[in-house]
Amino acid sequence: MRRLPQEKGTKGKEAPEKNQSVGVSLSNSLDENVLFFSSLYKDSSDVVFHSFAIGNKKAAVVYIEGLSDLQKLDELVLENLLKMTEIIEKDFIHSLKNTIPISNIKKIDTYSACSDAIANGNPLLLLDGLKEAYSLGIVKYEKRSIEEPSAETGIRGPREGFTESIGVNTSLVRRIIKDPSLKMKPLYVGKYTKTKVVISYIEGLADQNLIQEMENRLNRIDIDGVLESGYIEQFIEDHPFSPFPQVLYTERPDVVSANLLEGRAVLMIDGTPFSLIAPISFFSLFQSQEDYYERFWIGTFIRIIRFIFLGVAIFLPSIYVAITSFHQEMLPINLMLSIASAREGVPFPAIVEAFLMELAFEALREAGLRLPKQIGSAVSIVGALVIGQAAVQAGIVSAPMIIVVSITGIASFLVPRYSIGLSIRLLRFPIIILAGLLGLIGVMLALIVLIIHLSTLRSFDIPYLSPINTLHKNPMQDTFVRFPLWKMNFRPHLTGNIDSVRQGKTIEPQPDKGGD
Amino acid sequence: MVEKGRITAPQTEFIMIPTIIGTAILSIPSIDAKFAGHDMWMTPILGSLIGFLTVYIVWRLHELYPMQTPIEYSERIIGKAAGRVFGLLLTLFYIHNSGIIVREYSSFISTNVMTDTPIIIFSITILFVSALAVRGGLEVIARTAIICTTLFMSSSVVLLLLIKDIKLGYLLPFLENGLLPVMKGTLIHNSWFSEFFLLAFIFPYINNQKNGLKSGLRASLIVMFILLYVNFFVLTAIGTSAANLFYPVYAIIRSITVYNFFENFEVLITASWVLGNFVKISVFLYAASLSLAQLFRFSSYKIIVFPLSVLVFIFSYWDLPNLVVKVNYISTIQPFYLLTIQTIIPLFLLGIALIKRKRSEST
Repeated sequence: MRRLPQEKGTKGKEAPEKNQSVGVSLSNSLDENVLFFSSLYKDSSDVVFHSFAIGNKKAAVVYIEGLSDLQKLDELVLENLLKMTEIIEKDFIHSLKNTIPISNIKKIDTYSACSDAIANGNPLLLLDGLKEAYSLGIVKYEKRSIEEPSAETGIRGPREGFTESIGVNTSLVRRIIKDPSLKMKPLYVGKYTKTKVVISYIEGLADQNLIQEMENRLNRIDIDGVLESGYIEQFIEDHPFSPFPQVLYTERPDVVSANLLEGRAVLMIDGTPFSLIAPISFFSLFQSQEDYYERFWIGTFIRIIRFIFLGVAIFLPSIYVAITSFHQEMLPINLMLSIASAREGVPFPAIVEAFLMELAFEALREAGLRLPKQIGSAVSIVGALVIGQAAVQAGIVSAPMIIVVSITGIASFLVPRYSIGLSIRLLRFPIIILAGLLGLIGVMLALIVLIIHLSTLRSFDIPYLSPINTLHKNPMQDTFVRFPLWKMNFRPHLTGNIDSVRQGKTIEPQPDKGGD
Repeated sequence: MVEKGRITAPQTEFIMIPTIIGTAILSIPSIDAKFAGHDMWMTPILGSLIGFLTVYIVWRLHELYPMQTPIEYSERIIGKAAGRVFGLLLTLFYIHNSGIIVREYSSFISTNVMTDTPIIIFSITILFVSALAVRGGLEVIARTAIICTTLFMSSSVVLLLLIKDIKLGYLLPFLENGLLPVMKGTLIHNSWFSEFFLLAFIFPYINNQKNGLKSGLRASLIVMFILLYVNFFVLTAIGTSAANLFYPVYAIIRSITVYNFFENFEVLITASWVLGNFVKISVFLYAASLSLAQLFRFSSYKIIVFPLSVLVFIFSYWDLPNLVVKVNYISTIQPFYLLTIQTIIPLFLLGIALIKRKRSEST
């Protein structure tokens, strides 16, 4: 890895602490322990302290309402504990495991570990005279059920999407990739949220340096809270000032699995259905899962269409501005005449016109996005009427401009990844200005600057425009064209050339040659 | 080491092809038609010999002094003082030449595409984007070049649309005035092909050193074929009257019409030539900055790129008041100027180095 790991200790391996109780051991006396926790959770009505006695020993259970399975706590834990008559203090965890039918009981002996256990929904069992506590793994909280991913829909392919609960998400991936070499390394980020982040990769396929680098970058994050994968994304990027996404996000387990199998690392973050995939290249943003599920001709065709419309989305308005204001002679005469007659009454120069319409279109799109669904349709009707019809009839903008803006709008929706669509929307405006100043040369200069910028970018040490400008052969099979699956024999060696053979060599499907 | 990036051998080809063709496609055909007339189609073939020779010289020098640029090894070959004088000469040569290339590009744009905009705008903007690329280092130049070169080269397919209009009769009479006109035309090509000496600034930074020579020669071959292709179409489409036009390639592409609708292909061509010239200027600016930095023992050339591009900008207007002077310079001075510094002096350097090597081995 090019970036050396920053020396900042191993903070983050353990959940970051905010109080002074780091590493302080529990006390011998139950009263003291309970007092500590009740002061820690003072003014917190959702934390429940339940005191009782086992035989002649005082005991207490601490848990947070709504995070633990109360039925299990009552039936499995308390009922069995109350039946106990005496306590063997030595090696109590053993007798506990033999009494309580719960598979996940852990002994902990520091205050910080205790508060972590409580916060995660594990009820804490405290006993008088013991310098340790027991966290009972009966976590249960309300969560959304698995639904079809709404931001990444498809016709063909699994309908399962990630949810906000990381346990569900890891299990969804585990259900696809059953090999034990699939690893899930946990980390905790965020001073207050203590969000669990899982680095998942396949051992033997992913570059160990990549995993190490990923861990280093995650450990470097020192923020108070992680509310969405975007928080993590913006802290682990290589080039924070670039408008281009350097990490891919997805809410589909099949996409995650495909990337794991190509040797990439996936970050799953608790509290969001979006997982992050790194390293990626610019061309990963143009791959959709259905390219692989449908026949390769179709996958290839759709991919080429996407790239053509990428060009349209970025450059069409600026080319229109350049041609109408500088290079009228470059259009065929009939086309030029019809554009000229449409523009006759328009009071603005083409650049102002383009800017106005693009801004209006962006406003419409944003308005439609944030509004409740019932009002959203009203916005689109008003927008279509005002912008489409009235503006042209009133002679404020020309009809060709409307066509250009709408084609651009459609083109920017063609990209399968929303994040790159956002970058394209942003880039359009400076390019329109350049086109208005320098015509076609301005557009070309913008293209050059864009290529230079993309060539400078790296995502976890992988050149952003690879494999195009690194000229690697194998990943080329899956860039502009999508080779038949039985031809993609090698993994794209973007992440080191580890175990590059993906599948057998002569697996081209053909009828049995035996008889006729 | 001043340059830290590493590129691959195929990337070198992508860098070198537009570095030669970028301006060659603009300036050569007209002068070539003036000198060689009906035989202009064969001049690239003879001209490319200098290309192969230069690549070979550079490669041998590279083999003798691996991981070094001419600035460094010239000191070791001909002694410290003389070596530094040569280094200074080379640096100034590349600054001057970058200026001329910028001027060639800007004149083309301002006479054909944007006649009302002041010409200096084009020089400043192209220098700015090239400087941006050079500041990114050789890796960025190489990666950028791949896309730019692909687009640049693919636009030349447009010439094939002329096939229905060509008159093969223009190729005759064969060798009407003997070989001398052909040699004159060849000399023009030689000056462009000698620019392969730029490989000396690229070879030290190639990953797989073994493939350097092969890709250099291949680049030279590709350049020859493209110039042959362009010259052939210029000659067969408009004959020797190409000599009367400043930009005959642009002119013949303008004349393409298919079904009376697909026309104005010059838009495509202009756009792609901007890309090609961008690569060319970047490579020259890179060579100039790298040699300046090595000459004065800077630790990095990246900080001097922008100041240097200001100097290049000045050179692009100094002593070149108009197009006619520029054409005159290209057809009379440039072949000798470029050939001397980029092929003949390195040939002598190689000779001295080989003699030195032999002597040290025999003693």
